[in-house]
Amino acid sequence: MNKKSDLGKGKFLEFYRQLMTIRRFEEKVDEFFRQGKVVGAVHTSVGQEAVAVGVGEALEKKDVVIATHRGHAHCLMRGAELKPMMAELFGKATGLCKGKGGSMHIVDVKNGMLGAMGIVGEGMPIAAGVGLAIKMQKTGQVCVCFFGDNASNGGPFHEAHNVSSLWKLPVVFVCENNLYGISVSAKKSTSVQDIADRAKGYGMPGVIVDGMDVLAVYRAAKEAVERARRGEGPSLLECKTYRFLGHSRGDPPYGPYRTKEELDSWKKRDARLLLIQQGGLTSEEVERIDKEVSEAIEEAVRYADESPQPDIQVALQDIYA
Amino acid sequence: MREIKYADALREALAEEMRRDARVFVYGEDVELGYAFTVCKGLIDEFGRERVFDTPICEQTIVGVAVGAAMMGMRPVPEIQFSDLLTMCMDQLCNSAAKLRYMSGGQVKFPLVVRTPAGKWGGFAAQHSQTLDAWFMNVPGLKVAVPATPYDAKGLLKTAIRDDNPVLFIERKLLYQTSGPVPEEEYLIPFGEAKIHREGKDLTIVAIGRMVPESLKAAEQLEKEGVQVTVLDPRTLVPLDTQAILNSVRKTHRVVIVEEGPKRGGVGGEIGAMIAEEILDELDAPIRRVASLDIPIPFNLALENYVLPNEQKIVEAVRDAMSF
Amino acid sequence: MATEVTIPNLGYTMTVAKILNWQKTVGEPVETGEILLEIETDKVTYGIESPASGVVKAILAKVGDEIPVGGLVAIIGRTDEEIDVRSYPKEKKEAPVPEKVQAAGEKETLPPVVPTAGGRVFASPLARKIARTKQVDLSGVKGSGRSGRIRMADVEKHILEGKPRRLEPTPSVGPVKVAEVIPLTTMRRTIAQRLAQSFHDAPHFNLCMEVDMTAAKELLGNAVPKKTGARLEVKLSLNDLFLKAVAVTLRDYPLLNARLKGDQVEILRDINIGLAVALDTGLIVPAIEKADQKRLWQIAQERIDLVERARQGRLTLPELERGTFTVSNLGMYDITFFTSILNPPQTGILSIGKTVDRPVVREGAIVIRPIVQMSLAIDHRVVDGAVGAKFMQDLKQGLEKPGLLL
Repeated sequence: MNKKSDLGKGKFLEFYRQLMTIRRFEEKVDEFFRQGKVVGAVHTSVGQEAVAVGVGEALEKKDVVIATHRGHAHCLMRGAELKPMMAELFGKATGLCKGKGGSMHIVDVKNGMLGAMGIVGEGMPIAAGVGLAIKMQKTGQVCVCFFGDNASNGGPFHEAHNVSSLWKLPVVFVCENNLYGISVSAKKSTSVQDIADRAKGYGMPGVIVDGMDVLAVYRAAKEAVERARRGEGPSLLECKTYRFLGHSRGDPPYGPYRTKEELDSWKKRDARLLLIQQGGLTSEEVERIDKEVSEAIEEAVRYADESPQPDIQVALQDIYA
Repeated sequence: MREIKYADALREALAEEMRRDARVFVYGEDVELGYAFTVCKGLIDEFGRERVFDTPICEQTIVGVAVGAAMMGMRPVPEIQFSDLLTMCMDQLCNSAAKLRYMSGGQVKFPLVVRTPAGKWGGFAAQHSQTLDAWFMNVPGLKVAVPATPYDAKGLLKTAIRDDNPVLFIERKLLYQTSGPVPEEEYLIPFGEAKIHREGKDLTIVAIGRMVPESLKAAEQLEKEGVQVTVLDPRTLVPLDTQAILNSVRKTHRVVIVEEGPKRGGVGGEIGAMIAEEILDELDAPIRRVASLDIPIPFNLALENYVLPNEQKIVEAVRDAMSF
Repeated sequence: MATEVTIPNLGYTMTVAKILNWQKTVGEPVETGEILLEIETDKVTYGIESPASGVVKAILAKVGDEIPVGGLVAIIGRTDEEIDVRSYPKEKKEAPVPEKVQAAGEKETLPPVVPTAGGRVFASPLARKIARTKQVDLSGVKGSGRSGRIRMADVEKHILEGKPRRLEPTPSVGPVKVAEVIPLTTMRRTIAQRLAQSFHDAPHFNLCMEVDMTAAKELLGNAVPKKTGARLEVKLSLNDLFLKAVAVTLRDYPLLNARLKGDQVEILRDINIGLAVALDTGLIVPAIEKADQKRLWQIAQERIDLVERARQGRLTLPELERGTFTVSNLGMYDITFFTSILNPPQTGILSIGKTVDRPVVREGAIVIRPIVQMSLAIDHRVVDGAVGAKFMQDLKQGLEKPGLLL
């Protein structure tokens, strides 16, 4: 079967644009962090964008997403505007969260991005609650919950998978297995290397997916989302992927706990290259999109730079509804 | 006026709010049969398993589910069977429910109520008898209610359910079967409004939860000795009715704060410091606190009584303040 | 135990004394009060009395020696006592500097009542606050709390009672012999301070006037004693009429029912007339609230009650503090005329003398009429003489034609 025939070239161009938007955004943010323009910590998705892009394609506008502290990609995938996103990372008043959440807690509810969750595992029980509400309200929505390989070792993973399966909630659990939880490799932390194997323990389908292939992710996600929407319950997708930059905070791409060889081998499988190949994108098309993306990001940076600091009074707001 | 039990008053509140608003639902461990302390008993008959259902033992996810559901517009009212188990839910309660609204710049809100019983039962020992109220006073973003009477329980629970914010509703095990007057007509009690159970010019007792009836007994004993005390129940710890407390101490010039949790780092420290900060010059005696000893609660009943506060300890504290 | 004999301080200018003669020798017995030696100062010859009974153990100055004030001249002890003269005097005493005249209101130190460590007084924050506002010296207050701690009730009691404590007379000083030492009670001290301050701060302007009390006396003479319930039958007195007349007249002169606070004059809402009551312990001024609105017999009843309770020390603080204008009447002591010092922070005080029958001129003829002299003192910072004068005129009219007071 020709993979390409499902989706026209236009779709691949779109995928490419989305992927590059995420990539350039993340690279820029990483640069700013090292310059001190962005404070705290940033966790970038350079290298693993395909998961967000592929899943995003499988969702409807009304669906909702919960992500991890490494949540810029998912926020962008849902359609968050670049300017308020960059402004939020700069802590400005015009940011998505008025400067009060920052990188790890980026939220864009109107676009169905319920939030990046700062605590590992925090999102999964919440996703179960979201799924429960969807079921009670009968809105036909689906909730996708992203989490990392090491998060699947924590208690919340277990509880959330159990109740979601028990109550047949419309949730799709997507594990972005990039083989490391900060500096600890999955080999040292996880009792099974294929996290999808755990799904069986909860009576739900578990699928291993090539996380560097947008198309593959899309197909697997589509199936899981449709299953959820039909009311048949949750699924666990394990997307094998790799982050090209460090964990966060200027952590180097390789060295302390990863080898250059490993990094290079994954870079050969860069989703970007695969997309170009799969979509038959020409170099003009690629350059054009690259340029447009760069300009859009530059514009967002200018916007964020020029935006004002929040008023001190803002600190006192939004505690209670 | 009719008299009903604290547990029944809570059940009425739940039922009335569920009738009023289809988004309200109740869940937790053993709630379908209402097995633990009977509060949820019978609700499933009226509302069905869609709105009254049991969960596995997974406190963290019980509250996590409340967070997610509330975020989507439902009004969940989970029950955590023992307040000691709140320790399992700290992340979802204190990091998610209390903080996500703020961090999102107001994009989401969490109209949820976590109900849970605290305090002595009699032989439940150290892991099932605790009163952890003070911990949650220290978490910005939460509201905390601590009703002492059936009247307060019903009125405050209704208010909690209608509040668009996360509320920790801490009940008392030994109060469930106590009775008190509760009107048939609907009423709500606002948060941040204390109740003065009795007034006396000599000293103010600020009492919480089960210590309210203990303080009232102490007050009667003290009256025979010629000491007239005011008994004031804040009813909610967050928000706290500081004005009522200060106004009372301005009149009596002496105060004793009574709680069931351990003294060190307890509610009494917060309220006492607040009083000293605001009205030092009104005090004719040092602020006294009556609380549990800083010891895990023993199983043996006599030892348990030794560790926990009671009427007699309150009387002694008042006498001490009066003679200082 | 041995007793030291030193040169006393006999006057403001004395610094040294010359030993004239010794009346006793070493080893001789001596009684307290017996003259031990005679000294000469720049003004006078003086016999120093023995401060103790016993035996003269040592004489440390000879005739003709000039010894400074406070210097040691002899030691009295028991017969069998061994004295090492070289170890005396036990405390190095500096010659006391002659003290300046003590201005009224300066604090004297009293022995502490509260057991203090290094002079610290233990009192509750509330007690301290009250002491501050009422200018009570806490070191003189007896505490009823634990370890003698002072509480609010103690301070209030202290203010209301203020009984003096009699101390032992100190050894005679100078030619004027002291019979008894009465330390200033807190009350006295407070009165002293406040009056001195009032005298100093407020420029007193005095207006004097005579009032013909014929109509008033007739009014009272015809008044039937009012039975107020089973207990008290109230007999009206001229003083009640004065109080009522003053209160009613003050309605038209709000500046006389006011107080100065910094840059502002506060006109007081109620007219509460303070009556000066002389107690053994000092002057006390309880006030009748809203006197202008009360009936004459009510004023009489309250007056009787306040004076009685003042004598018993049973007044309450509000009663003492609420006065807005004071009336002082010394008529019962035959004083025909006097002036008073303002009761701070009030702006007016009326001093009323005795009503005496005197010859006056009416329509060209000499007739005998009961005349009273009164003086009004006002705080000239707040009120001018003319205002005071008009008030007095109104008051006179009201008293001479009591119907106008209605």
